[in-house]
This record gives sequence, structure tokens and C-alpha cells, in this order.
Amino acid sequence: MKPDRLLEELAKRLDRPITDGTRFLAQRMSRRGWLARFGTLLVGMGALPLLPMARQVHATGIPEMGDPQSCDYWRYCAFGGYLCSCCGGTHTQCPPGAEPSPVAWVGTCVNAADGKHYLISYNDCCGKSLCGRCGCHRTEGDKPIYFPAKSNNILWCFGTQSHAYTCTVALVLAEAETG
Amino acid sequence: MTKLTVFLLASCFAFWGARAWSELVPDEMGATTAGKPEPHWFMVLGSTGAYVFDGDNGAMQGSINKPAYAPAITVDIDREMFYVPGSYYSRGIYGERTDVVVFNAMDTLAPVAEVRIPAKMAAIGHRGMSNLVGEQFLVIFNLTPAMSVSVVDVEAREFVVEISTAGCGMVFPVPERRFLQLCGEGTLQVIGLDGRGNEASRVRSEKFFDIDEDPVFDYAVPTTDGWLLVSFEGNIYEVTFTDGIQISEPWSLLTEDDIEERWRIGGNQPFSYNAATGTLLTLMHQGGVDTHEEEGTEIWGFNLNTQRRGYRTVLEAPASAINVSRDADPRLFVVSSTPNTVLVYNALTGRLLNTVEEAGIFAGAVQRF
Repeated sequence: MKPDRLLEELAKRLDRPITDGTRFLAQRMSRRGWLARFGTLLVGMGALPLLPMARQVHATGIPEMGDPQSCDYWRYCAFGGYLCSCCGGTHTQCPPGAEPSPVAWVGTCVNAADGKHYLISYNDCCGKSLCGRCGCHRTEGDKPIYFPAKSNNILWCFGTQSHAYTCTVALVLAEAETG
Repeated sequence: MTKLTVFLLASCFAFWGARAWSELVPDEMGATTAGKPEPHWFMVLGSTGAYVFDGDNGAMQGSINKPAYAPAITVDIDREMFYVPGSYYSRGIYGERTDVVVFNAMDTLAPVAEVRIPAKMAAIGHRGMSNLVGEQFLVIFNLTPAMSVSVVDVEAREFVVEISTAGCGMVFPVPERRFLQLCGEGTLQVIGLDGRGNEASRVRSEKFFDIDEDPVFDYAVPTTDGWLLVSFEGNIYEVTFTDGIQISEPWSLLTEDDIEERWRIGGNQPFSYNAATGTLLTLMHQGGVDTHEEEGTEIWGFNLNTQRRGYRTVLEAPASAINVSRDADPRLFVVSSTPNTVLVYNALTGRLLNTVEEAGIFAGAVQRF
């Protein structure tokens, strides 16, 4: 499914406050505006299965370089929290017993391995004690709290049994469009 | 020494020891009470509690219970109460979630009542997360991530209503039972409450900033007759409410030389304002775009009326949060990156007066009284 079509389908299933919040963004044609719109739509996905687009992209694979246990790793450009890769999980998987949050904030990071921009979804893992290892806070493209879709200061354990924060993973969603 | 001598000496010591014991008045255990907050008191919010200190001598006055997932503590001087909204789980960090506002008495700093609210409270340590509106209604910001607020009547001690605030967040009180919110589309929103705490009015401003180009911080500080907002690029906006929502033309904290040297405002709590003297304090660092949360290396003091900088103070260690007392001889409280340390400055001169060590556990934000 094309991203625009996917967004349209998702928008139909979102609660009204969220769709209201995206309406002004839908008029924006710039790349950043589109990214923001995409991110805002993700915010409303609490009732949906876990990120169908993320699954699709993971199946294809992308060239990788760098250490996922280092804050310098390319996917972490807008990361805020503890790296799950240091906490018994990986950069895409929660540690044992932690519950993945189905909603997330998004960033756009450059993969040095191929020079391309990718949309990254930062999902919190929840319900276990605070990991406390490999704290990482980067703010590329980070926005204030009143723009939640791109704010890494929010505790993103929404749609989970507990909103106690454990650590965060970084999932590649799609290659970012340019222009 | 014979065995008899040893026995007699031991008997003497035992006799005098017993006599001394019989004259001793045993200590009685109790608890002190906290005094009424003084102008130079401050409160440090940590992960396990809020810790109250006297900035003049660094003495700790007591602590207020606060769970890790609690946004801010509201001080109600008139009712002598602290309101602490928070989320609690039946098994500590998991299990059934209960969100409540706990009422803590100002003298004992202990809970005296609680009001249950929808389990939607935003878990962000930030002064704009809950505030007293119209002196009767505690308004708490919710994020699920849909945005709304919960209204609690602190007089009746009951939950009133949840109000959807789609696209807008935070709670900054405005006279006449209203509160200000910041909106992602680059506008401001003011919601008015009626005498029972239900929504009575809602007004939106014109768009005045661009979220992509130069958003305002999600933090605001009160002025004499409104609120002061600061953008990531260091532009200052004053907001007043005499007729709807008036937003002043912005002015910049930065001169051309400052911009050349890549100075920026940044931190978790990066500015504060003392209305009694018109002094604006900002936390500054040198960095590029998107460094709006970087710790500051200097404090800059401005006169808001003249829009001129009065002083620059270099910090011994970087800092992430500042606040200034409300009085005419103001103190500036700086949460240092040196663990659990708060520095107290003369806010008018930038001179360091006091260093408070071991100021709370995992101290992050600092509130004034």
C-alpha cells in the first residue's frame, strides 16, 4: 500500500481529537510538514496492530553500520531515553517481559551506510523497572510537548498495561521522501 | 589487684551508672512542622519526592511525597495546601493504574485528602502540567496521546470534568477563571471555566510562530499581566489578555555578536522571570540548531522593560533548570549538573551566594514559592 493511501486508511480509524490535530498539517506540502503529518497520525494508532509499515520495511533490510549500543548510532538522531540494546533487548526489540508501546514519536535520520534519510519510530518499552543503562538524548528535529508526534520528552508508554518506562527502541519505518 | 577489689570497683560503677540512668529523662520522638513558605524557599522535584529548602541558608525544610510519574506540585497559600497529581500502580510499576490529586497540608507536608481523576495524566515533570485556575480549580494536563485536561474543584475536593483540548497542551492560569495553552499549529488557546468548573469559553489566537521554523518552548513564565514565551531561536513574546489574546512583537535575546558566537537558549527549564524587578533570566549555551535542550554554561540577566542584558554569569558546571523567587530582592535557583546540587545566586547581580548540596534525589526541576 502506498504511504498516502495507508495514511488515509489510518486517518479513518483515528479518534476525532487526533484527526482534528492533523487537519492543518494535511495542507502542508513540504517534506517536513509531511513528516509531521505522518508522525501525528502514528499518535492515533493505539488501537491498531503494531506498526504494519514497520514490519514491512524490516523485511526488506537496509545497509547498516555503527554500534546500536552507542548513542552515536545513526538511528538515534532524535532518541530520548535508555537504549534497549544495553538493557537485555536490541535496538528493535524490548528486553524480556517489557511491553512494546504501539505508539511512538518519529525522527528523520541519515544512514551513513547509504546516505539516505529514513523515518525512525522511537517506541518505548514499558512495565519493567527503569533500565538505567546507556542513557541517550539527542534532539535533531525534536519539538515541544504540545506537538507530541515529534517530542522525545514525553513518556510514550501509551496503549500499554503500565506506563512505567523501561527503555526505548528505534525502528526504521520507511525511507523519507525528499523535496 | 585482688578479686575482691575488682568486685568492689565494679559494684561502685554499677551503682553510679544506675543512679545516672534513673535521673535521665528519655527522649520523646515526634515530628516537626513546616513553617509558612518564605520568599527565598525553593522546591526541587526528584524522582521520589519534592524537597523543600531555604535558599538563604540551604537548610532543608521537609519533603512532599511524589511518585515518579507526577508532573508538578501546585502551591495554594490561601488554603495552606500542596496539590500533587500523580499516577500510581497497584504493584508499584505495574498493575491497576490510579491517577489522583493528593492534597498535602502545608504544615505537616502530609496527605489529608485525595481526588481521583481520569487515568490520563501526562507524566512529564514540568510546571505547566497542572495549575490552579480561578483559585478554585486545579487543571491537570492529560496526554494519551490525545490532549485534554482534567478539572478538580479543590474547595469541594471533587473531580468536575474532562475537557478535550485537541492540538493544544499545557495549563497556564489567566485571570477570570481562564487558562492559556500552546498549540502545535503555532497559535495560543485560552479556555474559560464557569463557576462549576465546566468549559464556558474557548478562544484561539492568530498563528504567530511556525512549529518547523522556530517553535516556542513548551514552558512559559508569568509576567505582571500575562505570560512570557521564548522561542528556540531566542525570540521573546509577551502575551496579555485584556481583550482576547494579545501577542507582542518579538524581540531577540541575541545580538549579532551573540549569534556569530552561536549562543542559544536551552535546557529543561531554560528561563524565568521576576516580575517585581522586571528581571528575565536565561540559561545559555553555544551550539547549533536543535540544541534547545542542551545544558547552559552561562546565565544571562535581562531587564524586560528595556530589553537589555544586564549581566552574564559563567556557571562552574553546566545546568539544565533555573527559577527565580518572586520578591524584590530575588534569588536565582540553578539546578546544576553536579549531582543533586542547587546553586543560589543574587538574581539582580548574578553573584553566587550559596551552594546547596544533596538537594533531593535525582533532582530535575526546581519550583519557587
